[in-house]
Amino acid sequence: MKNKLKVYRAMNDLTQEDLAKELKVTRQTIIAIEKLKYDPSLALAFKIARFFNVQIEEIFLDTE
Amino acid sequence: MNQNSLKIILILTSAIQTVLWVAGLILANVKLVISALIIIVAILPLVYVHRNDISEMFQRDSNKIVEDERTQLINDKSSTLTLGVLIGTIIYVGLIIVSLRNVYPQFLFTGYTLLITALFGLVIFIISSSYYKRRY
Repeated sequence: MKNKLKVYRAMNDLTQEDLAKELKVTRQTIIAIEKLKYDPSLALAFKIARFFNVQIEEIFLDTE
Repeated sequence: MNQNSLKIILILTSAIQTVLWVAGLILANVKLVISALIIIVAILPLVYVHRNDISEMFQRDSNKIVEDERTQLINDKSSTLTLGVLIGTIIYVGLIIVSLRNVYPQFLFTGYTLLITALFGLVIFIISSSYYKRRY
């Protein structure tokens, strides 16, 4: 699964640390999601979408 | 009970338990080891009730997130691997020792102990796995 997390983070002028604090996850999780090494759970994906005030599919793209 | 007094109780009981364990092992006194076990059993309900606060209680910076879904996934995968390797190793070493019973009969009991330990580990794994299968 691809994602635009890095783009949205940059658009909102947030560091990985800031975003991690807001989402209550570790910074390593943000890094792993951005590097496409880890697909977040549905709950976390919704949380991210809600935080950026967009639909979930605008950030996460199904590549299959 | 507030968090501070709970923290003090946990630290004190842990220290007492450690002293009892170590003293029991050094002095070869089973009564001390059993006393430590009794303290563990006595403190377990308290630990269970406050299980969600304990990690936060002993964390220096309570705002810092140290565990999330990714770390849980990592722990899950690494513990499954660890269990597999450990049980596999114990079974093979146990089998080797038991099969060498004509050469080293004095180690036969050790071999059976290892095999029973592996079996016990497998039984616990099967029970917990069927519990979580029903739950999720």
